[in-house]
Amino acid sequence: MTLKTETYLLNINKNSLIKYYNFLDNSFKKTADKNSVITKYLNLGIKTIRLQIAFADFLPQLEKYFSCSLKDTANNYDATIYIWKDTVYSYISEQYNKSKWITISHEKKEFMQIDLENNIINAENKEEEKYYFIAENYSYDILSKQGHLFVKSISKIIRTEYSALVHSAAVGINNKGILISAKGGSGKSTLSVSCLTNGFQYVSDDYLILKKSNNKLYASPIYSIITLSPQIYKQMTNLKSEFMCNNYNNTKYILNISSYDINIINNLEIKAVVFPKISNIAEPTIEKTNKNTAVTQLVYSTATQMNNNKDTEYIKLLISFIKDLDFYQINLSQNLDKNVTILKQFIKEL
Amino acid sequence: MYKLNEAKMFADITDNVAIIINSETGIYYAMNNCGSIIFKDVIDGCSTNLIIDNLKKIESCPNDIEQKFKIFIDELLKKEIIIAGEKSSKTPVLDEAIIKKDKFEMKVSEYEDAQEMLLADPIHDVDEEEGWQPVFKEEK
Repeated sequence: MTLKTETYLLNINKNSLIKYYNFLDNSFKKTADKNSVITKYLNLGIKTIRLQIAFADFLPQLEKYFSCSLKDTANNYDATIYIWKDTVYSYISEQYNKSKWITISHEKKEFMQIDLENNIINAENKEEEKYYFIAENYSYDILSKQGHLFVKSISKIIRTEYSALVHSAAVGINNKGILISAKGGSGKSTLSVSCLTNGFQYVSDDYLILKKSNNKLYASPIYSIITLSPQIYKQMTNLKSEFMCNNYNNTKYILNISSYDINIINNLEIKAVVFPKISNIAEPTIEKTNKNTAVTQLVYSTATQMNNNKDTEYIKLLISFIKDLDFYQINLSQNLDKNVTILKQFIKEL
Repeated sequence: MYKLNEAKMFADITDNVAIIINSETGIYYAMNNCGSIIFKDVIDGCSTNLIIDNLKKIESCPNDIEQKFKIFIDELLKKEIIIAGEKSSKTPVLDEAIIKKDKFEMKVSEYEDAQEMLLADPIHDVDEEEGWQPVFKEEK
């Protein structure tokens, strides 16, 4: 077996880009000619994404990932993701097929990522709002290796001067919401899912859409999945979820929470940012904190995970959304119920 | 003495790595471990003389440590990460092992993806119907 070690960034010219878009469109059409195409829509509030699926076996997985946002019909749509099954190696020159990751860009803008470890291609034609997702294997395990499904495409589709996808959790009480923001492994998911099982309004434990409107900030969900470590999952005895697969490095479970769709709400108004800190104290506390750490971690983790860390306009946009909010630190105890109780009181008083 | 330029910058130091984001330009900066822990002392308002004195007490401290420190501070000022501030009573906290491991080098840099490999247009020969033709290999 050939060891794949190299990562390439390839630059192409405009003519090649147009030819390649035509090739992708033709490849989808060829697959669609052989298989019936299923049309679904992701209703993400500010944008609607049409899904053209030329691989019917994929539908059950899509329904698990997106049960809170997947619809059969829509009045119109803003972008399309074309989804089909194919051999990834036929989409890149043979000279590169021993590498593990290839990014192809035009004028410094990435339009295609080829993951040759998991055999998945993500491509985009931003001008025409067409996105492409090609995989050889549509099992949950393979798809989870790239993080949340379609997350990078969704990030690009929903980005406007007043909206963006953000790496953060959000929960609320009585339509007053908070962002729970920190880098991975800081207790974001544990705290937000504990809130979900205790009747809070819920947006997400990981990725969500932030929208600014009339100087107010709103959060909306994308996914109906959560990620929890096995240890925390065991503690949450009242969680009604369905195991889907392990995450990319087999440290967490990815679970479907469609049984809670009624608690998952759109346009939750965000009043504050809470930065979780894991500690061993007996009683949790919440205190006002300097915004430096929370802003930096939220922006850095979002930009890094979206592979947008050189996109200065995107970074400025993220900062502008949250910098004027009040920031608090919750010092978490090991008792999940106590953490939820203090947070419930805190949100009610916002 | 100095403090973080909070009008423009957001900063976080976790696991001995400083990340600083300029909210006006959208550029972010990262520091190596040695730079990060010294940066923490700098923005805490510690006396720069005291930081240098404490660095000099560490075994194998290079003779030009004052110059290295000055270059580091000048870089932070040039990038507008720090500005003049009040002196605090805080004592510098310097992790000797980390400073030695980084050989007393204080580095601050704009984000770069070191793994990139720039190549010329590789897909000019794509066929719009058939995609890639296999690379021709002469049979011998």
